[in-house]
Amino acid sequence: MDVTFKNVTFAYDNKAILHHIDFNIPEGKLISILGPSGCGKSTTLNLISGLIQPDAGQILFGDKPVTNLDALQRKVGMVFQSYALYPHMTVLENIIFPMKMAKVPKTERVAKAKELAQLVHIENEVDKHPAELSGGQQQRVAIARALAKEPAILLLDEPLSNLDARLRVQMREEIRRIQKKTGVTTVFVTHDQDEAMHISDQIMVLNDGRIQQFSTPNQLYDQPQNLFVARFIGSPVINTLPFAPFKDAFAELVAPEILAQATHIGIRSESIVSAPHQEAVLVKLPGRITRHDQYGRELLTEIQYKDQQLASTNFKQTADGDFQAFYLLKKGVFLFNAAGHKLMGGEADA
Amino acid sequence: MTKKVGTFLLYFLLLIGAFTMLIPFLWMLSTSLKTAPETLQVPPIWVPKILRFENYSAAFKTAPFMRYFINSVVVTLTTTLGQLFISILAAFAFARLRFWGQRFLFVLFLGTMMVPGEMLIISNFVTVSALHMVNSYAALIVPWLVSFFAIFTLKQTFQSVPDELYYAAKVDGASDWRFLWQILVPLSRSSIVAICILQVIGSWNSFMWPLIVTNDERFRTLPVGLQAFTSDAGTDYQLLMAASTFVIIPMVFLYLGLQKYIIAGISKSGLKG
Repeated sequence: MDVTFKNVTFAYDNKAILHHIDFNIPEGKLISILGPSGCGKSTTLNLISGLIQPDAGQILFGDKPVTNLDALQRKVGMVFQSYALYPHMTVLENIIFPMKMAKVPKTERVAKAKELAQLVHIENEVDKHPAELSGGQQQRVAIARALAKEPAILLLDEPLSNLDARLRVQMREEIRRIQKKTGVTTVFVTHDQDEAMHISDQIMVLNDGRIQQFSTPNQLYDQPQNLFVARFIGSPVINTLPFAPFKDAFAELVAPEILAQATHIGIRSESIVSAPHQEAVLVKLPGRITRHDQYGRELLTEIQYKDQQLASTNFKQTADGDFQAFYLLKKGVFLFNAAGHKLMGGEADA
Repeated sequence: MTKKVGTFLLYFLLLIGAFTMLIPFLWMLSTSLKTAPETLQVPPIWVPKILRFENYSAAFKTAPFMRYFINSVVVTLTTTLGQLFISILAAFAFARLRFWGQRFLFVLFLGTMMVPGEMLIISNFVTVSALHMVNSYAALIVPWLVSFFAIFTLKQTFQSVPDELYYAAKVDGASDWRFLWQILVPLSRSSIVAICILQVIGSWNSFMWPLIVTNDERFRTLPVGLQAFTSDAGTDYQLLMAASTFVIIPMVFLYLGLQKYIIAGISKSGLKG
């Protein structure tokens, strides 16, 4: 089922957490809500779940307003950061619990629970208690339990943050697989952009209780709508520099009103190259290399341009190694105004 | 080597402690098998020449002990179960719900824990007699249905259960009521058992209150019934000890069966009102 927020506002202790949020989550997709801690992403999730109610605005599931319905009535499935499995119940009993609450007949719910255990690959652990399982297995049980009542929407609140790095990658693929198989509309909250970029159909970037951008992972990277998104998405972090030292070089390239308004420039590290191949070049700038390192297959080059430092991950060192100039590619260079809005860059023809 | 000595010393001290605790029980058993003159003999004798088991049947005939026993069981069970039920609900309200005056009520209740129980006896008696409840089961049971010690202990236990479990249960479709009974209560089992045991022991051994609010033997409990052996002419110690033995036996078995919970409960709550 799709989820719509209309002008939703939420405050806690007189402090606004969400400011007039509007969005629509399309049915059957996996959506990530991404943002730094305290940005309101868990609040948004809890508003969808019905665990909290908005101060103003409307929430719709499909065409049905659910603003004043509680979690029980909304039929959402939720996976918590700590998994929140019932420690005194076995895996099977945990999965059965929501069906028991929904008064599903006994034989049916046992059969369904076993089926779900199979879906999440824990069919051999069903008689164990949560404490006997590894973190990844507990995670699987939590997902199975959330799916047990065939929820309209599956909500995951930072579900991977308690797992170690390798397992995290494995589990995010699992979540993707399970989501694809069940086709349930899924909302995934995370502060890890890498996780969000790999798993989602679309990502909602939140900061300070406002939606910064809601688009596909590639659009977020290639066409960030503002400085926050540009900085938040991508590793290594985008080079963000004051625009003034670049102003002369850009005079010919951009319209005068953009030139007048731009205060910051953002340059992706892979868009700084020593010699362009096929890519469209934006501008050639003078500069010198202050550092050049290679770690495994990762390159890191520091370039000084006027009094600014830039980092490149795409700077091929050649034999002479003595560069006097570097190129900025068209793709991956953005100009922002004082309010952080993007003025230029990421256009489709770039 | 030093470890062995330490272990030996530890067990030695524990043995002394255990023996000290056992002496009164042994004395009770020994006395219950003596003749009247033997009970007061100096120097005391530990094993009487003839073991007089007939003291037990004699003691049983002195007063309607079967009646007292049933009364004790009824009073103990109802106060324990009633108190448990009320405490669970009250603890849930204090731990999970938000309502007007919550903090004030909690502090007020907490304050009652600082009043010694003996001080309340008079005011409770006045209340009970004003309600014409003297000489009734109600008088024996109702004042003990609320124990703030139990409420407080359970509240602390309930609060140690993570919030996320509550939200998970909500999302899973459980009402507050079902969350309480299907998740919180099973998870708080050891605290609940500890509260029950303390209350069972307290209620079973309770003497002062039943003595004050009952003078009809139909409502007397076992500890009060033990007075039957004390008269103006003196005390029949051998019969008193025989009766005491069968008053204590149920508690001994209860303790043996549940001792791991008793110790867990006492060390967990760390205080007793």
